[in-house]
Amino acid sequence: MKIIDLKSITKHFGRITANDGISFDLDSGEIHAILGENGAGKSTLMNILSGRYQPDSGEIYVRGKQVRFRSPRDAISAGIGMIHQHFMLIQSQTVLDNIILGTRLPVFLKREKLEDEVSSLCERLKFQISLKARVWQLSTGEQQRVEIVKALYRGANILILDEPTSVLTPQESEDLFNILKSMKDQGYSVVFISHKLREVLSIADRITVLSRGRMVTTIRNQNVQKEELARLMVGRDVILDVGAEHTSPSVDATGGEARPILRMKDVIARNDRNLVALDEVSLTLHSGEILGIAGVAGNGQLELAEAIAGLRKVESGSIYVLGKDVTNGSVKDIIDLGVAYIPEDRINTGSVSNLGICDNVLLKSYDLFSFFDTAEIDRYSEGLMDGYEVVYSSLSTPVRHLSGGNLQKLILARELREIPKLLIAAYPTRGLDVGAIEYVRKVLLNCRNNGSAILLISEDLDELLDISDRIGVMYEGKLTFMPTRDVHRIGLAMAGSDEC
Amino acid sequence: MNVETATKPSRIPQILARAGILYIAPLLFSFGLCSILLLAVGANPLTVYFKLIFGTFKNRYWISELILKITPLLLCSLAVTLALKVKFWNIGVEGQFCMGAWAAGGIALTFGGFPKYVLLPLIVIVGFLAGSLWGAIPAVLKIKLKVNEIITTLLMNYIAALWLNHFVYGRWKGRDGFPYTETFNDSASLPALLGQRAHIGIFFGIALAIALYFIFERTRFGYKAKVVGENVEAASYGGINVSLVTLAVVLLSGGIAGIAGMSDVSGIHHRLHPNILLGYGYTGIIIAWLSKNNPLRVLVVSILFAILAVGGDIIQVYQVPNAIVRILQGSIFLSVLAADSIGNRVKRVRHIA
Repeated sequence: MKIIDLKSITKHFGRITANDGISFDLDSGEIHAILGENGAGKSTLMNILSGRYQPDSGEIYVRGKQVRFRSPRDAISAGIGMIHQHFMLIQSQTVLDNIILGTRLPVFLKREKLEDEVSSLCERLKFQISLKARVWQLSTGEQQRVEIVKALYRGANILILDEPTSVLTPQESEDLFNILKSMKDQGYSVVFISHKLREVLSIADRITVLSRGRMVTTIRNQNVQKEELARLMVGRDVILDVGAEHTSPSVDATGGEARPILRMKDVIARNDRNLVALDEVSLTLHSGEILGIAGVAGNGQLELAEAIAGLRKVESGSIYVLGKDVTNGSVKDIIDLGVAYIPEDRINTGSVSNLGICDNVLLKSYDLFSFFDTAEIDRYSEGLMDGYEVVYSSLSTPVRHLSGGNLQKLILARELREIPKLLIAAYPTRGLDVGAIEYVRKVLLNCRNNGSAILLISEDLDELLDISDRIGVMYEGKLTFMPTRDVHRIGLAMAGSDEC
Repeated sequence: MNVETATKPSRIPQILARAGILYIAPLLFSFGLCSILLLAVGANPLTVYFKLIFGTFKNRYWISELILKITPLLLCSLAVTLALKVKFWNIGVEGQFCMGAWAAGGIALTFGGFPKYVLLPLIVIVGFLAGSLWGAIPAVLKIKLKVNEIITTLLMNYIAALWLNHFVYGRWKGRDGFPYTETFNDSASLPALLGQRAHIGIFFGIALAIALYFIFERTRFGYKAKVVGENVEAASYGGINVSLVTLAVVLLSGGIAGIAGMSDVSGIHHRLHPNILLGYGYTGIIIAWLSKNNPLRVLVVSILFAILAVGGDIIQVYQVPNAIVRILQGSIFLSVLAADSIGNRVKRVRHIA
């Protein structure tokens, strides 16, 4: 039975057509994935279904009845719950308070009764959450579960999840998939928005592919190939394997003698919560080499990147870049040595959202320009933006208006304005669409082939195996080099097993 | 790939429309609101508003009074604006003003015998340094110990006022026994303008407004300060020394407040007394906010505030209470804020794509 039926939905924003006659339907008890690159119109379509936007034309049917959602409230009362990419939770409040928030509450709360209701709902779903815990104490995966319970408690039986795995570790994603499958068995219907092919293939019953605001096709998930989906999504063939040749570190890719660029010895550093995050990490990284760092997020990878970049104090041990001691040195000196850094958080660390493109491009080279000559700065920025195919409306537009992929290209353009001696790349492809991922990987390989030493931190094992020359695994602050490219053994090391 | 330049319309109508929404509409609204009050006290709103706005320009005396008002308002709001560029909420401009005045007065009293070309520059420099150092204390506390500057700067205002009183009631008390100092020697007075009370302090203000605008638009230091103010994490990532930039900006901000205090005692009062503190530091916060932190707009808004203040004195002649002007100021502030959020909402709808 069709529980939701969207018929030729069209939505314009100014000159842009975000949705162009898209039709979509959802069976009850089905997981239906919507796949598309960033900007393909996935989120707009779901915002229409959840009542945040109204379509310019088209019809919405819920359980066979035509509806008009004037606000999210209307959609909620029709049983549609949306789980946003960024959680809408109050960090300092308890789980229970967050769940009951927004429901119609009596003047005097009967907490025991509410608690019973919520915990019986959790039991039915086999969730284990302490209702008395404060939200900030929970992991990201747990917070997402709170969001799900919140939606279901409000009576939703249709769940929309917007890029739910983009914030999760691979393990947490697995857990989420199991939850979704068990929800499906209990008769809930799920719309799963994603741009990750593997995920969509592993969980969806049907897949709808969107591209540039139009619906490409809806297919049943039987014998579908990854490559085929990628082609539908991008509209051309995508080479997911960018074809790196793995070199031995003694000779660099340019054919010259590989020089050691980065040397770390017994480095110990603490994280923001003052716990040891780097536990006697030692490594040597050569020119023309990509060292891939695998690991479950939160095992010290970020602290490793920050320590090298000079952004985190090192308690003991030493860090040398190009033979120069930079342990606890100034960030500026390290940048001037030719160290480029693509940070994990491109919105809060890698860019200044409220400033324009020029100001963001200058973040690493403000010393080189006279600020009197704005024309020269404009020319320089324009050149970099064109070289990296960044799409923007004007150089003064605040970069918060750029899409994730475009912002990442801007950061790449800035960091790679000249071939860096050392490049630290933390999760450089996270949250990007297939086209942009391919682009970033090619750029990294190009740098390596031109003699850069690259430290690549990623959670995507396929990516690491594809382009790194050596692989190390971080687990609880310890770095172990893998003698092998065997995925199974790397996985064991990521889980902290000694067997490898 | 610049996709928009080809079809980009002229920006001027857009700027005018924005000014209309953000400033003119709320001004008209406030004037309309206060008309009701004026009618209630039996005055003709149109005459009162005419006198309020144009009365100031009737003769030299009132123009001089206007300049006298603009000077401290402009300098204090520039001080607030500058600190806000690095997201430092300098509520302490009042205190820095006070310390600048105190130090300038101290120099004038102690070295009154110096020739003018030595004494005046000395007074200016010491006034600047006193405000600057008073501002440095909360800045260092914030940078080193993460103490909230809103609290420290506010509390230090009271200390500064009491410090001034301590001297005025104590060792600097004049011979006639009232709580004020002797009049300064002539060599400690800022040169007068228009043959009236007005003095050259106004030029400090105008020059600083233009200089600050220039610094933030066209210098490396301004760029660094802008990045620090917008995003501390990105600033450190870009190798900018956040503590140093913050400290430098706050020192400059406190110094400007000190200059404001200096110019008031050396230009108008020619002596120290407890009543030199008229709340310019706090009004400066409002002006900075209304000007959206743009030094050139600060110049314009300070002049408007000064016109309202002087006009308030003028309309009292016509039996209209000065309190009406206060109400007018308050309603302008609130309605500009309201217009701002309405304007933002309109903008958000446009940007949502």
